[in-house]
Amino acid sequence: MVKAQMMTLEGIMGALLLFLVTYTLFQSSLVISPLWSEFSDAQLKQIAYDSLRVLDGNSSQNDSLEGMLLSLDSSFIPNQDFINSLEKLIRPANYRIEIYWVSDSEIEKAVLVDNKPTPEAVAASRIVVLKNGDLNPSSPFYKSGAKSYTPIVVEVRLIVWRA
Amino acid sequence: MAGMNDRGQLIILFALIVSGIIVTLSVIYTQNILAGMESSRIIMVFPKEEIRNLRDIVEEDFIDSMGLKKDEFDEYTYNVSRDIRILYAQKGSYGDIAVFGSYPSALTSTVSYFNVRITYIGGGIEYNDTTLCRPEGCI
Repeated sequence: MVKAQMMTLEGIMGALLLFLVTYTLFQSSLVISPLWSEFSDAQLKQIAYDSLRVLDGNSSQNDSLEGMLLSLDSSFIPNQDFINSLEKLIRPANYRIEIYWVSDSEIEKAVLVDNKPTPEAVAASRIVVLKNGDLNPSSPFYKSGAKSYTPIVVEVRLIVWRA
Repeated sequence: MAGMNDRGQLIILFALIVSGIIVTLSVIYTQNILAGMESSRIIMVFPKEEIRNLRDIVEEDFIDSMGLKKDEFDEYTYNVSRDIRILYAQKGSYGDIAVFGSYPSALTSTVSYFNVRITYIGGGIEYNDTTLCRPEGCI
C-alpha cells in the first residue's frame, strides 16, 4: 500500500519535472525562432555592404561607384568594368541595382540592373557625392547653370538574394 | 513498516532536489541563449555601415572641398547635408552631416578647418558625433 503511494508520488514528481523542463525550453525557443531569419540575412547583407564599400574606392577607376556614375548616360546602363568587378564580389548571389538622387527637392530614381528580387532579398546602400564639374553635359545628373562645385548626392542601392 | 516509510520520504526528498537542480540548470541555459542572441542581434542591427558612410563623406568629399572659399564651402556642405536628409527620409530614418562651423585661413581665405555633426537616427538607435576636421583628417 505504502509502496504504491510512493510510486504515485514519484510518478507525479517525474511528470512535473519533465513538464517544467520542456516548458522552459519551449518558452525560450519561441523567443529565438523569429530571429533566425535575421541571422541568415545578415551574412548576405554584409557581403552587399562590403562590396559597395570596396567599389567606392578610387574614383578615377572605371569600375568604382563614382566612375560608373560619372560615365552613365540617359540609357542608365552601367559600364562593363563595373559589372565585372561587382559580380566578382557578390557571385553566386543574384542582384539588382537602383540609384536615387535629389533633383530640385524631388527624389529621382533609376534602375541600372533590372533583375526581379525574391522575397528573401536584402538591400544595402551607399551614398556617393559627385561634383557637377566632373559630369558630362549629357549626364542625367548634370545641372546646367549650376557651379562646378555643386554636389550631386546619389544613393546606390544594391539588392541581393541567393539565386 | 517505519523503515519503509522513511525510505519513501527520502526518495521524494531526493526527487525534489534533483528536479530543483535540473530546473535551475535549464533556466540558466535558457538565459544564456537569450542573452547571447539578444547581444548579437543588437550588434547586427546597429547601423554601422550607414554611420561609416556618412563619416567617409566627411573625411573624403568635405576635406577634398576645403580648397573652396568659405562661402562656397558652406554652400557645398549645406547642399550635401540637405540631399542626404531627403534620401534618408525616404527610407524612414534620419541621417545628416551638418557643418556648423567653418574657419577660413587668414592668407588664402580657403577653409582651414571645420566642425561637423554626424547624426543618424533609425531602427531604435540614435547616434550623434561631433568632429573637427583639418586637411590632414578628422579627430
